[in-house]
Amino acid sequence: MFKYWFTIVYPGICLTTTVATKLSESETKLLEKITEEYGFLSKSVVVRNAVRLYLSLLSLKPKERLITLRLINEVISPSRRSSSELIAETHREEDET
Amino acid sequence: MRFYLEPSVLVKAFKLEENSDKIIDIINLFERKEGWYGFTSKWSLLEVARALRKDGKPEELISLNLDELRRHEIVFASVSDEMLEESKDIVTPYDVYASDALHVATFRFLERKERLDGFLCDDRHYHQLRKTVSVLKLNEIQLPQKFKRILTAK
Repeated sequence: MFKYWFTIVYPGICLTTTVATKLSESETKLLEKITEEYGFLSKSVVVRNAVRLYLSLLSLKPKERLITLRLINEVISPSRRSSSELIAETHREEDET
Repeated sequence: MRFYLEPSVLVKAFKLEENSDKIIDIINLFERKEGWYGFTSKWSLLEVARALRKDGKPEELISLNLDELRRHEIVFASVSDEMLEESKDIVTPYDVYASDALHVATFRFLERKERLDGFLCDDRHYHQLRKTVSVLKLNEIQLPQKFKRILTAK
């Protein structure tokens, strides 16, 4: 299990929340690889940045969130086929099974 | 307007392709609660997940996309025995895939209860399903003028 901490600072107040989470083996390996490759001080810093990024995404207005997610989809894994072709293919799979 | 959203239209919201901006605008209209409503089947979530997997998206990203889809004001209807019975009566005579038959049956069920205006789908499904339900293509949908002005102003 991997534990991480993050701090929320309000004017004059400092709140620290400790959160524990379980990561799979592949997630742990990826986390270690990214920490090393990008020169982060620790895995906690990477996780904290990931949390901030995800919270920022969720804080967007619904339409902006959807547009941002569409962009993330294209950057991480560019589309190869149209949505129509993909659904037709999943239907063909059903028929073959 | 009250639409049934066929899965290929939902997948479009997560891909950069023709009319993907339009479906995002339509989903956004559902949030505004100004007479626009979206319905689909819970089964659509599985089809969207499988389609995104076929498109090479990693598991974590698919999960993120499905969570996002559920966050919007779309009603996900449960699959009932009644819908499955009606699907059986559609598959053979109309020669459509089982999933398409389930969507048509769900649409008909919701049409009776929720007074839907149409079954929103892509070109390919439009030709396959137009003999079974009143299908609409995305480019046939006119966004309200007020909404267009808001978009232009942004």
